[in-house]
Amino acid sequence: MGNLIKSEFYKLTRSGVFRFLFTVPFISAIILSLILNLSIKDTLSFNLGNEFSFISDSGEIERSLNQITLFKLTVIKNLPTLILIMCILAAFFISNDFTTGVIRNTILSGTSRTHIFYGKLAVYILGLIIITGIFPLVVTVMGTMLFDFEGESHYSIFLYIGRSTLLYLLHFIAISSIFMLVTMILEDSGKVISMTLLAFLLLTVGYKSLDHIPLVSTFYEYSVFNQISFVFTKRLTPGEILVSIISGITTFIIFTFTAKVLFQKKEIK
Amino acid sequence: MSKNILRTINLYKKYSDDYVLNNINISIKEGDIYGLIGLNGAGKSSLIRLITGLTAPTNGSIELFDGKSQNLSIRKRMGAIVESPALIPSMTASENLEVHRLVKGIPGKESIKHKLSLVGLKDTKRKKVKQFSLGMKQRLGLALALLGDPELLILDEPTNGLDPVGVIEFRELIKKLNRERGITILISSHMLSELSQLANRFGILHKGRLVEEISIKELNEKCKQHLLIKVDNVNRAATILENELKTNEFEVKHDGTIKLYALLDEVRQVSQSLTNNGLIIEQMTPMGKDLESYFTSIVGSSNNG
Amino acid sequence: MVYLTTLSFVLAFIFLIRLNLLRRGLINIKNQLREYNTQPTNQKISIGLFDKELEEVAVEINLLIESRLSERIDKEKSEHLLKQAIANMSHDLRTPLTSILGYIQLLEHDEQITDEKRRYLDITKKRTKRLQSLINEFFELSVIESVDYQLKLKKLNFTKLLWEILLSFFDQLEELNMVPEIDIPKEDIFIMADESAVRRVIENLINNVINHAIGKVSISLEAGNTSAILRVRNQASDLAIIEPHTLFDRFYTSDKTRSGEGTGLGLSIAKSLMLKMEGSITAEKVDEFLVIICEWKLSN
Repeated sequence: MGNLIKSEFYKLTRSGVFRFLFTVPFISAIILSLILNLSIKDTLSFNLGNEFSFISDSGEIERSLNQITLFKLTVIKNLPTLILIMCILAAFFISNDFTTGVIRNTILSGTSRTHIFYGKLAVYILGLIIITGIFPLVVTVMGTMLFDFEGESHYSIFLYIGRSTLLYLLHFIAISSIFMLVTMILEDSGKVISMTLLAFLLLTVGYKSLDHIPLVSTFYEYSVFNQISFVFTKRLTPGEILVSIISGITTFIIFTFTAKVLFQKKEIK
Repeated sequence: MSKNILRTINLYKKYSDDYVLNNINISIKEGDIYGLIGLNGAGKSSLIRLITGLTAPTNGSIELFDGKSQNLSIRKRMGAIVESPALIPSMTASENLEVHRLVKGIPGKESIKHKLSLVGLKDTKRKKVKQFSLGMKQRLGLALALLGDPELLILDEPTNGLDPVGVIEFRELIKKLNRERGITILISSHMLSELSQLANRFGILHKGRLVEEISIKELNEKCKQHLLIKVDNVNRAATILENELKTNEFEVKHDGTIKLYALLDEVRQVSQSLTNNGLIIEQMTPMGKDLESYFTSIVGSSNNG
Repeated sequence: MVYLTTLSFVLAFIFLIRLNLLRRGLINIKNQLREYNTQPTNQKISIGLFDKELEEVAVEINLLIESRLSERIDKEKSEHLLKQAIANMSHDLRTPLTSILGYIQLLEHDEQITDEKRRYLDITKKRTKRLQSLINEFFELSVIESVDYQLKLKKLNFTKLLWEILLSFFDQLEELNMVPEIDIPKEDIFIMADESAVRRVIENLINNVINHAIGKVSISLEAGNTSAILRVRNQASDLAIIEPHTLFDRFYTSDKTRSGEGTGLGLSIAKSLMLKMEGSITAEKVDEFLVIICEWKLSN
């Protein structure tokens, strides 16, 4: 199992798509933090001055810039972007192994299919975390170094960051498991990309026209798609946190298990 | 000594309602190069897919390495190229090998260099696999299959799409592996003649059935054209062949029959000389045909039957 | 202080995990080596690749396995070549020998030949015939020893078969005044064997007796727990110089001048056949006697 993960990680770090998806947010994060820094110090001609502000997702206006706001703002909560990244990586990292026959080769060298599946899933999620995590991480770190924030290290702030990050990760992983299943069904990378985007479009349109039905809107509310951004709400009751955890874990288990069973029964071409 | 490396027992495979494999019993012994021959669609690939564990048989069983163990790890002792070699096009040859080295847990990166030089690809350096020619890809596929030094190597139509020079090189490499490293090899092809210079045993598949299992020795006996002569006094017959018919191209077999490889067009003259010297001819039959017509005769006859 | 404690706990935990991994790696290597030593496999060992030193150990072990493999292959190759050469040789010798016999026959028909020359011709013929039988036995041995030669083992009534073979030799043995003492149980003993191979083994044993034995000969059969045991006991003129374990070597003859009747291959053929039948054949000296013991598996 350790060897399999090592091998998958080796493949991941050498795949062009991953390198691209890693480099673009990395460089843009550096550029963004530099621009912000220079603007604040009036070195650049953007006169943001005292008017400089961000509007957070809750509608409140954040007057000042600190680590939390930076981190919160840069984490990808935007569902379409997240889905795009996930399906591109799934298409190139997982599907390609089906088309090139690498999975076939791994099976016939005596590796159990269960191990192959979990190794693949683990490294896929790891890759996604690296890709999506790099932007907020770099911006926050650069921000801390460049901005001279005043030490606002309240206990509650750390708690907030810790809680929302963990819950975010849980839902993030749950959504990844959905993509794992989709890829196991469709195999081909072109199909994976086109079908997911189409499905996403249809679901969004469908939801917009059906959200007046209470059942549908409740379902959406508790689904991982909503929860992933909901977890960044400033104050959550313990009940809401519990519901969020249950929603994430159930989604992950159901989709992973189905995908695994499917992979085990699969005729590998 | 002659242990079974692979044995299939009453193997059946059904897709929807058709049996693509019908009661297949083959056995491959240690050190064999086993040629699996059949027209396209005869069931070669299906059989190989069953052997390599890519699909499960509908019925019957497969014993690997003398049937000692049935668990999955026994497949670590096999290497295979099924259909096309499984390569990652955006990687170099050694990166491709590294992926599989990690999967299999083979210690030491030296094994990669060693396999690359074995198949003659050590000078490809930073060249990506997508820039490789078909022959190079096949060779890299072989290097992948050889990683971990398998005891059984399975090759599914490995020379498909290779140029004639490539085919010869590939064949020599296979022979070398078998000779120098004692690897048992299962190789499939749709042409008997292609494997006749490589394999030492053949299984001929037709429409999902094993129609014949034959050794190269038996095959050559069947395919070498000769006149089979049986007379009452073999010693005299030998002197007559030498003196009157002026030929040395004959063999006296263990059972006292003579195989005459010359004078095939002059059967009448041969029989006359023998009878003139007072010999009684008990049998005189022309035997043997070329490989391809032998193959067609087998496949054809079972076609009608 | 709190940070330091936390840090040391974390470090301790990491080292513990690592230690456990290393231990599991060692157990893994041990299991694979055990398999290598107890089963007929050339499989090299594979490991979890996380520690450089462990990996190096595995590399060195694999080099050892590799060198053992190439030694084995070299040995098998030369054995194979030898067998092949023998098979080919007997094959190539047979054809010219046949025509030599043909010419001898032609000469025999010549009326004008002198008596002296006819005597020479007789000797030539005899010697050629002997050469022919030697080559045939040689060929037979090489066929039996070849990998492709497989016997089909079936249930056989050994008691009945043994009587049948002994009877066929009776006249010959009586003529030589060598009628053996026979001790065969009344009940039928069934073994797993190939009939013609069993026949060949017993015939060779009796021929060996005819060619070399002096004095009393005894043949006994008994059924053990798992095997049927046949014993052929005789005195031999050159018993003092016989080394029982070399008796089954090819061309073994105690008579260094090789002038006797035997080809020296009969017992080798018997041994090869016994091995192919998953039985055994051994020889030992007991007092003044040479005893050859054959064992076959009993059939249930």
